[in-house]
Amino acid sequence: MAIRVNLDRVLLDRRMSLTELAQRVGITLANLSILKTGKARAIRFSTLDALCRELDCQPADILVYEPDEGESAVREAAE
Amino acid sequence: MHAVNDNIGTPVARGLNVLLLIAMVFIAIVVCLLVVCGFFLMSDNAISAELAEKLAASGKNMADRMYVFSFFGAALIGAIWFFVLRILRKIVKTLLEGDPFVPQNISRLRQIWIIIAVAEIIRIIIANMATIGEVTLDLRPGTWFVVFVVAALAEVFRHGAELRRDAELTI
Repeated sequence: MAIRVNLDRVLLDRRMSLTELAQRVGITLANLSILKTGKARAIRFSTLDALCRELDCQPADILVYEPDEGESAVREAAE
Repeated sequence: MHAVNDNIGTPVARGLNVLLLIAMVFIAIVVCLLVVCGFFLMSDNAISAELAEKLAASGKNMADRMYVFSFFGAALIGAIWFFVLRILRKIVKTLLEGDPFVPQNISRLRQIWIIIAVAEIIRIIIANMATIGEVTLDLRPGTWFVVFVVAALAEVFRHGAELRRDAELTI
């Protein structure tokens, strides 16, 4: 997946635990762990909204686009 | 595999679970009887001699002792149907456990239509082996209709299970 979830870094900056965030946002710890470990397939706008509100950050702070090796090779070949 | 709780699941699923078990037991008995009959008719005895005479008298062009293979063929078809019902019962059990959209059910549904199609082809081959001199292509539209319907439903189920997985991993 080319989208990486930077939740652990943002949590570290805010000195907040995953459990505390789960309680504040109203998401189960299990689901938040799925998101943090990058196993999630999709994220709802409502979840993103709640995360940004509680962490006082922008969506771009949580989600980062990093092209896969295969994708960058295809792009370079096209150029 | 979790133990099936009889108190959960829809009445249809619970009924199907029982009906499938009864059908499996019935088919198992029939398969055993067919195999026993096949072996019995292979040996030289009064009944096999009488049957051979009656078949000859009826004008049916049966190869020598090939009618015995009809019994084994029918037993083989019965065994295949037994496995189809066994797979179907496993699917019903997942329904009773509350979650039928498990990845295993995708391959189970695929197995069902493939097995039915293979069983039908075997049936046609056996029907032609028992008789000599004539090749009949006895296609049963009903069976192939079932194969196509189950194949289509298996693909729909596969897509549904993927959607379910997507929904589960949507945070």
